[in-house]
Amino acid sequence: MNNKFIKAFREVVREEVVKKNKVQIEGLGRFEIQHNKQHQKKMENGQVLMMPPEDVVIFTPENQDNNED
Amino acid sequence: MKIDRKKLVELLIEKTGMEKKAVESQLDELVSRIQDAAKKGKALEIKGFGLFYFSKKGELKFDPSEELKTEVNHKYTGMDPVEIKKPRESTDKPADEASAGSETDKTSVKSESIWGFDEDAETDEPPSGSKKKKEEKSTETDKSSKLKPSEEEKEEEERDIFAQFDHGSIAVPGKKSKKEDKPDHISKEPSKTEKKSDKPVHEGAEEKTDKTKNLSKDPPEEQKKKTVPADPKPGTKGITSSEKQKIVKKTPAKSTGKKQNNPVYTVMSVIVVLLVIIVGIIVAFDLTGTDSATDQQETQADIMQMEPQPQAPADIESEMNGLEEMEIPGEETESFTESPGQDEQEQVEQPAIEDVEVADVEEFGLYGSVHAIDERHYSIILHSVRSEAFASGLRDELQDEGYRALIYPVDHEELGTMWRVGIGQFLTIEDAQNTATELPQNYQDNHFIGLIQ
Repeated sequence: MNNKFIKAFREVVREEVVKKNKVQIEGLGRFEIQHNKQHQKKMENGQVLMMPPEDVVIFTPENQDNNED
Repeated sequence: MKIDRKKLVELLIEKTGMEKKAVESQLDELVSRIQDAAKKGKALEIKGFGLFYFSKKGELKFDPSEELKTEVNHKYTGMDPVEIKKPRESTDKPADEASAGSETDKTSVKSESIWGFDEDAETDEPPSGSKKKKEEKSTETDKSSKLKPSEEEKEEEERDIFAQFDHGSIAVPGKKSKKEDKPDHISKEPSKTEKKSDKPVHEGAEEKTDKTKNLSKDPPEEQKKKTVPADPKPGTKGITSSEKQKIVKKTPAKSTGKKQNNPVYTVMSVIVVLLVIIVGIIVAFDLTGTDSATDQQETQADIMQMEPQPQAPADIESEMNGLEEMEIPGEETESFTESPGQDEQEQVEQPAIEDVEVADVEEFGLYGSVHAIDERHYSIILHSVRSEAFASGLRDELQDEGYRALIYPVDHEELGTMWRVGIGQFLTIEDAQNTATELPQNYQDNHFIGLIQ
C-alpha cells in the first residue's frame, strides 16, 4: 500500500463526495455528503445564534447498510 | 450518483496511472487494514482524510479530518454564527451596575428572582440572592413567634423547628448577623442623601423669606436641585434613607423577640410616603411661583438669569424690563419679527432633512443597485467561492436577474480569501431572513445571512 495510492484514494473520495456522489467502498461503508440548513440555536443563557448552513461528510458503515437494505 | 467499487477503481486508475490489478489490491489492502486496526481496538488515520475507528457498540465510525471538512463545506467555510439575541445576562448587568444608593432596586430584583426559583434556592443558596431569602425566612420565624407570644415553651419549640429547618440550608446565626449588617450598609449611604432631599425644602423656605439676597446666585442652583429630587435616583436614595430608619427601629425590636414584618410592605409604604413628600415639594414650589406678585417676579427673574445675560444681576430695573418682554412676547411683534423668520427658515430646512432620511430607508432592499452603506448590515449570501473572477461572474448573473448583487472578500484561515456573493442589503437580520423565504426554490436551501461591515 503506497502513498501514491492513499493520496489518490482520499482525493477521489473527497472529489466525489463534494460532487454529491455517494461513494460505496466494499468492506467499509458509504461516504456521502449531507447538507444542514442554517438554523437558530438557542443557548441556555438566552442567547440566540443563527448557525450558518454547512455540508458535512457522513459515513455509514457497511454492516448497518446491509441491515437497512 | 453512487460510486461503486467499479467506478471507484476507474477513478483511482485515472488518478494514479497505476494498473487495474494494482489499484484493486491496494484498495483491498486499505479496507482490510482499516478493518483489522478497528477490530484490534485501534484507530487508523488517513492523513488529510479522516480517522476510522470502532465505536463501543462495535460499529465502524469515521471522523473526517479538518481538511476534508473544509473541503466538503467549501461553500460555507468561514461563516460564523450570527448573534440574533444577546444573552440574558446583559439584562441583569444594569441592576448590578446600578449605584449602591439604589439598594431598593436590587432588593426588588432579588425578590422577583426568588419567586422564580425559591424551591431550588433552599438547597442551592447562591450567595447573591441569599440576603433576601434570609429576610424572608426570618419573617417566617417572626410570624411563628408572634402567633404564640405568651407560650414561651412552644415558641422555643417553634424556633427549634425552624432552626432545624434552616440548618439544612443555612445556619441561623449567620442569617441574623447578616441581617444586622445590612442596615449598616444602608445607613452610610442615605445620610448624604437625606441632606440632599432636605435641602430643597430648606432653600425653598429661604427663598420665600430672603428673596432679594439669594436671587442673583442661588436660584438657578436651587432649581437644579429641586428638579433633581423629582428624578428617580434621589427618590430611591431617599427611600433607602427612610428604609434605614425603619430598619434601625426594628433591629432593637428584633432583639426583644419581636422581629420585623415583611420588608416588602415597609419598602412599599416608604415609597408612597416619599412620593407624597416629593410631590408636595414640587406643588409647594409651583405655588410660590403663582401665589404672590413678588414671588412671580422672583421666579421669572430666576428664569431670566438662567438664560445667559451679560447684565449685572443687581440691576433690578433691567430685570423688570426683561420680565415684561418675557410676559407678553406676542404683543411686542416688532421686536420679535426676527425670531419667526428664523422659525420659517428652520421649517424650510427640516423637510430637506426628512427627504434624506427617506432616501436612507430606500438604501435597503433586495432589488436595484448596490448602495454604499457605512453601518453594518446584512445580505443573503448565495455563493462563497475562492476566485474573485468567478464571484464577480456570479454577481453579474444575479444582477441580470434584477437582484441587488454584491461580492465581498472574507479571509479564511486555511483557504485564504473567499469571495462571498450575496443579494440584497438589509438593515436587520430579520429583514434578510424574511426576504430570503420569498426567494426562488433553488436559493431557498443554500443561502445564509451574512453580516457586512
